[in-house]
Amino acid sequence: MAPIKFEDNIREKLQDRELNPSKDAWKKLAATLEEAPEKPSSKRLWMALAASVIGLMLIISYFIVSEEAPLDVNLVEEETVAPNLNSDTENNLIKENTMVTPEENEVAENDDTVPQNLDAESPAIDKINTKQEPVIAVAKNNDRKDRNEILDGINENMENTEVTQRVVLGDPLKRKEGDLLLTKDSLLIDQTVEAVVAEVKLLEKNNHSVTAEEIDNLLRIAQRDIANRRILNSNTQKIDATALLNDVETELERSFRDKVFDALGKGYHKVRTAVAERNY
Amino acid sequence: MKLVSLHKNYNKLIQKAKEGNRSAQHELYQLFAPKMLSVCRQYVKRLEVAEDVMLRGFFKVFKHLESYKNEGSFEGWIRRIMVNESISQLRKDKKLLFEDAAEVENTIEHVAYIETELEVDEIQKMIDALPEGYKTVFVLYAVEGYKHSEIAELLNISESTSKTQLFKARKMLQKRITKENKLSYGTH
Repeated sequence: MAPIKFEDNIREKLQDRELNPSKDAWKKLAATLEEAPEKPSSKRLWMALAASVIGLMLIISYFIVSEEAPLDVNLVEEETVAPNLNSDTENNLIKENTMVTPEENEVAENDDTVPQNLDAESPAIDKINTKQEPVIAVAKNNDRKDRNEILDGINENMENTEVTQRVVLGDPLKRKEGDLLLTKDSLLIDQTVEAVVAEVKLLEKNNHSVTAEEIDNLLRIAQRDIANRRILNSNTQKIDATALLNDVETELERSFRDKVFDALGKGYHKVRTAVAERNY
Repeated sequence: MKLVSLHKNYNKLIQKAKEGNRSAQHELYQLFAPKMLSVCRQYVKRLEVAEDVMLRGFFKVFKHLESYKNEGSFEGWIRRIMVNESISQLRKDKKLLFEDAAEVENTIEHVAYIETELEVDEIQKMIDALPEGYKTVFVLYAVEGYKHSEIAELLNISESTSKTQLFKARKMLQKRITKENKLSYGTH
């Protein structure tokens, strides 16, 4: 017999060898497999991971979209350029901005309740004078209208006036000293004040006792109107974010109320005085 | 034909076993358990300990079955797991010791020839008689076909230590075989 390689012999014999395990071996293994927690399949893991990533992306995109607020804070509106004015010519500017139609003029002249010979030095009187006619005309042509409708009529007049002003928002550096900035706010307030005063006058003319509640109600309506006009620019139909914020703070402002009360006080006093003097 | 059909059966069985089908796992166990017990027995002297090692190996096979990507032999994949488990058992028993012997200058393999074939039980007896370090390296190299670099990585030893251990294992086995042959010739 030829000699054989020792290691080859060992390899062949051992690799082909089979040893039978005990009968309980599989039972032990099965029990161990049952006890062991099931490992989640990689597919499920990947799906869970993908779902969590998608959910995270949705949440992030929701926050991004909600943060993109469409408020344009840097709103700069530039309308027609205002002339350089000083404070002395304030009354003239009001007069120039007021458009009085011939029809209204005629009505004013024929209306005895309107004082004709008023002291021109008082700007308040001029304001009342120039703005009263359309109110009275409307009141005369129609029955007593709702206060809101009256204000709407006045607002239409206000929109039709030639507003010569320069409105610059947001950058105080653009305001020059010496320039009289007749802001839209001041004009609005003045005109609204005049409208309120005119309404009060109308009530008194109709022998209605004007109670404090009614005056407050009128003031609230007028104040709301001013706030809305501040917020919404009628020319561009854009909402001014700054104005919107300021609107919230106007409840603390007393300038409007003070103006109205002053105008009411002075105007009412002057009218009463004029009427009393006229009767002599 | 038979091998091909068996291979096809393996894939189906493996897929079912991956899904946790217990009967598929049982069938795979019945197919490979006898050979794997023999593998474990090469490293561990006691059969009952070898069986425990085999069961631990199969537990790992079924728990990590998804890592088998149908590349290469499934039997070879299971066999590697069994070898690792056997070596872990030897480490646990603190039997895996390698002498810091001086490196043998001449480690050129001397092919040993024997006159008669040895029976497998005799071979196993001779291997069991070797020190654990010699035996492990010899079985890994001569029986499983591992390279010295792979043995060094597996046992955390140097390649030169692996070569030395193998040389000494062969020397001892040759002495044993020569002695056995002399005894057997003497009886005839």
